[in-house]
Amino acid sequence: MNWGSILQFLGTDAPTQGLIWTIFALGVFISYRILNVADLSVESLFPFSAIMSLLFVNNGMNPILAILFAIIIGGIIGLVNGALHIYLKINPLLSGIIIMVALYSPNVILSKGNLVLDSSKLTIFTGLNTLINNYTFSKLLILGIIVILIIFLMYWFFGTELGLSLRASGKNENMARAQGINTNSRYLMGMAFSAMFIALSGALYGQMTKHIAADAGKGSIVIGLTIVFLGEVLLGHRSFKLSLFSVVLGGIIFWLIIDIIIQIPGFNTNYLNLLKGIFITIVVVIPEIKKLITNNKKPKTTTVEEK
Amino acid sequence: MIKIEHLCKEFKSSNPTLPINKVLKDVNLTINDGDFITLIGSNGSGKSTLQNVISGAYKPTSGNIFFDGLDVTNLKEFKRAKYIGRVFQDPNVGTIGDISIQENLALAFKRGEKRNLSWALKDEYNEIYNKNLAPLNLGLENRLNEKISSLSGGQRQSITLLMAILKKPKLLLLDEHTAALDPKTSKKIMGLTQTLVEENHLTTLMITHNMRDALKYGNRLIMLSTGRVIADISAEEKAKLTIDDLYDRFDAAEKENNFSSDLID
Repeated sequence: MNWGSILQFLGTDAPTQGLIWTIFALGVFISYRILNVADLSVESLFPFSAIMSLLFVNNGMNPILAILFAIIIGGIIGLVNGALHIYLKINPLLSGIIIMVALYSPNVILSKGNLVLDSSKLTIFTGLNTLINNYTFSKLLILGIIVILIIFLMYWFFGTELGLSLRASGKNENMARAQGINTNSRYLMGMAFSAMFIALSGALYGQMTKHIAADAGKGSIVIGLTIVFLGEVLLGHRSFKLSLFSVVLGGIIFWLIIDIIIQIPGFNTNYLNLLKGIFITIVVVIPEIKKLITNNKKPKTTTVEEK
Repeated sequence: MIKIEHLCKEFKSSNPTLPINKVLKDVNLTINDGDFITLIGSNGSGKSTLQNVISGAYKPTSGNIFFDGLDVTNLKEFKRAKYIGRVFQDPNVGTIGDISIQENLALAFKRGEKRNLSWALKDEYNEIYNKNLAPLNLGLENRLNEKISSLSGGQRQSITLLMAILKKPKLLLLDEHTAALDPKTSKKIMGLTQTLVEENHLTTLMITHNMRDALKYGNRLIMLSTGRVIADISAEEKAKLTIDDLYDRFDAAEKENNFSSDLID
């Protein structure tokens, strides 16, 4: 690859999409990998946050403040999701589905099907563009900085006593409680953090595309999980630090692959979700196949040792 | 001193036509500071339930538990953890496999303390961990970065034991903590347990299925049968007992139980 083609790639939608979905996948990473919950609420929370951020901007709010408010609202929805499990003893998978379904209504009502940004209003991206006058670069710069900040924030938080206790609660509740950790409060905290990341990615997505459909989150959980799994296939999960980077790598590689597929001449984009489904299956199965191969090898080596 | 008064624990069956399962029936027990109690009883006698009620994992149906005069009966498990170190039968329960030795020990090091936003892993803590690991003879000093899952069951259980006492607990609860290990490793861990308990003057309540261990270790032996304490044997008396004596006591108690339940029916 020469510099020309790299620049050409950076000019397409793929890197910005990749970065937004990386933020989304980091949220999924918290719920799925740290708390062990497949949280389906993200399917509705993603467009909901995009709608929030566009509505705020349309009503005259500063686009950065609009994103911050969307994050706060997302965090509250995450807390409600967690509370359904902790206080009402609803299965975590079901509580996610409840939030997902419940958010359909505000999504349709508030967006009236498809919400469009007022052409007179600035977004966080066009705002920066007025300063540096390069829209593609503005988008990449803002998203790149946000992803780097998030990685630092997560690296720091999950390395603290509090963050470690949150990870422990997700991995082994009995052990965590025996060590004096309030596993209920950690679960609520984790669900709120996860939802805040989803909300951030949704709010950014809305401002980047400048319009949002009520059903824009369909299949988003699959994208999030695929990115998490793809990163793990590429880098393995040797340490927590590495798994954060693997999500970022997974996000970028995933959108690179999607980008290549879309650019195939004559490709019908309606097949994209089917392809994503096949892709995630392959990515999930690879580690299992690896395990099978190593397990088949093991007995042979022990018999050799015994001789 | 830990005082247990009129402790009862019932489990309701999900099927309402089945009778309520009374696992603990009016258990009264005083654990003195420095006691090393071995707790024996057949399956379903309530040994594990008793430990789970003491630790706060289960809420008692009635009765009270006092730690040094403080009523902890309604104190949540994670709050009570301040006073209690636990080792479970399954090494996978007491530790987290896919994080490092260091991180597991860091979790135990802050047991009962508020966890804040300072770094969980610090070099100065590592010195403390290494100092505590050295007498265990596991060869794990300076290997703190390795994942727990790479360790053997025995090593893992030794780490759990260390985690339970890294912050000195008021009471150490051991629930058949060597039962999942091979005989040789099991013996080694029992020896280690005794050394650590003696050196740190720990008050200990150890469940065991091994009658020999029950007689060999500790200064007191308590026998449970169908949710009642049927024998509380002192060190002097224990020294004279044989394994057969223990079995005889069990048989006698069970006959008595059957007799009394016959009377009630």
